[in-house]
Amino acid sequence: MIEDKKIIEGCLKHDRIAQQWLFDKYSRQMLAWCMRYAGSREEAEDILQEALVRVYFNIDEYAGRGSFAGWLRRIVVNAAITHYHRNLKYRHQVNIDDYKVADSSFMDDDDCQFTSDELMGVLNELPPGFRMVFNLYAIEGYKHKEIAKQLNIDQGTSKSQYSRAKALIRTKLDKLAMEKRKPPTEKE
Amino acid sequence: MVKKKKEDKILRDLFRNGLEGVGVDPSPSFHRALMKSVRRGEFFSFIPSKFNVWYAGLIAVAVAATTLVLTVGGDKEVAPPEQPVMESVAVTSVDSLSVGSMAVGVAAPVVDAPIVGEGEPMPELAGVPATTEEKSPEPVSSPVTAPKGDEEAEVGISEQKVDTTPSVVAQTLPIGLATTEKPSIRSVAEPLFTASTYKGCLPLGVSFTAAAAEGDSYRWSFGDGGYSSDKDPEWLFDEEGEYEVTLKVFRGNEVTASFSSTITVYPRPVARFEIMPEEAIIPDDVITFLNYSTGALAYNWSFGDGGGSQLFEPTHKYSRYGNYDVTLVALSEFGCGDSLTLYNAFSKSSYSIEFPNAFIPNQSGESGGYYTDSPAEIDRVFHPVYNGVASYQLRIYNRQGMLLFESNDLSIGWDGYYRSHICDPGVYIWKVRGTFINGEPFTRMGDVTLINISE
Repeated sequence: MIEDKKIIEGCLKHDRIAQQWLFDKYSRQMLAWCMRYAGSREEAEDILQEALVRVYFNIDEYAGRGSFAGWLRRIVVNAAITHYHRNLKYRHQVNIDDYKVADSSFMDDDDCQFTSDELMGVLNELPPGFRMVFNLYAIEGYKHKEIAKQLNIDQGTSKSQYSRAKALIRTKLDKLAMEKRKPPTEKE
Repeated sequence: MVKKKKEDKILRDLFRNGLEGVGVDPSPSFHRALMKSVRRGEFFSFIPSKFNVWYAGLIAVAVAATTLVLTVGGDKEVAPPEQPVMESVAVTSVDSLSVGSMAVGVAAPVVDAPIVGEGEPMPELAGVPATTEEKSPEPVSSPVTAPKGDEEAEVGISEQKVDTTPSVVAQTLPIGLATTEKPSIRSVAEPLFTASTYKGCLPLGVSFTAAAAEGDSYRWSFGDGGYSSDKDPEWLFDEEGEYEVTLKVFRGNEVTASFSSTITVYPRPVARFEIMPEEAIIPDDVITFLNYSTGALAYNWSFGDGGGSQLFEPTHKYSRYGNYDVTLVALSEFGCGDSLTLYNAFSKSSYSIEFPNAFIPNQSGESGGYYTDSPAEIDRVFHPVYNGVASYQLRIYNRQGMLLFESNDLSIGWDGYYRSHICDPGVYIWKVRGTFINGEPFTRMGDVTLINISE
């Protein structure tokens, strides 16, 4: 693995090799971050491209401020927010069934494990607004005030979107958990 | 039923932990599309090392200018290779060729420079203005000499090609050249100054020491807007970044030596945290420490009871009540740290014990101190109002310090009698000690006025 310092020095000069190093070292992780914000793989790659271009052209802004991966992450989140604003016109209808409460919750089951693919899938299915708020609040640790600023919404809207996102996520996870618990024979 | 706050935390943890460290491969065509975008962006930006629209423009201008000059006046020589930093030096021809190890303006890779061994007769080589060996290898970041507005300087190449005309370095002056009066540009193969430190955490104080140089005045530029004309200045960098510190030594108005070095100042992370739940009751509650630090990579928590953690957001259960100081140390990848301590981080438990400041004992005789909450009796017996008390010992003293009454039973207070006689009205001292049901001990003291209605 190439040292971050070398990568940054090279990228500052727009050295192609250093840019390649950066890509090799971080693009997988960055794409995973993008996928949390996207509804599809294509969308995620759009966000990633935007993010990487920003990284290459603004790498002078890094200047050792904290961890490099942390800086990359912030760039990705900002690119995701920009992407979100650009695509606001795509509305998503939430099915009332989506909110139905399952008989039991995955939270009561200590053995229940979800793979990262399953979690990613749940995120992908969310309406973009819910997904964005959930990501920013629960994963990136933004406060509602900050989220409101970034997304141009009310703080109250952010809070209610967050709690609805949670409810929706919980429902989906409950369903998923139930399906996983079905004994294999039933599926045949 | 899972509590709401726990549900929130479960979901957050699930996603945070479940998605951390995951990687997804970009599709095969992604990189190509990315590079196309990058190249296009570079063409339209001002980047010295890449051919871009500015270069294209400059070349066009240069070509136009050259043709103009050539057609208009023939005399002027356009001699690009000579970028004299000092006009005076440029003139030297015979004097020129330095002998010996110090070549002009070439930093570390001095190896190329000396074509001539020491003592070799000068004049033979005089004709060659030593342009050949003086093209210093490109990425020499240290020597920054003042460009004189050449074309190339306009383009802002930071790796300045130091002038190619050789100049004389004092130490290696061959006999014939002793007469030179032109100030020489000191080679920068050895640093012109040293710094007490080249990297560090904000704020960074650095002492600079200039090596002896020919000249009588110094001008330092610290790269953050600060200047000094001391020989050995001290400077405090109070913002993070990389700073190019340059020293120029002057004799009169002319620069005799110049050197630059980079100082790197790392930012300090900011340690910030919150305790959840806000009104935590210990040791009952499981405490979560929420981490709002910025710029940090590693964390070191100290919970105040001897326990600690290096997790980002740990949880902890205290085994007994106490006044705990919680400290978080946040560290950046450069080893810079910040810490935050919350003293007595946990509010007192909601348990309490309080006494009134007056009471009216029953005239009809001692009651033994038993009391009820009925309005008729409520202030007949001196007793506490409390919550969560496990054990207690109450003592009543008169103002002379004599012990009049003691009770170890919460249901028994003082009826105002001593040895079957009602006590005189006045002020008495009470003192109580005990423990709450969570183990927290308490001690209280106060005075109470005994009121005698019959008076």
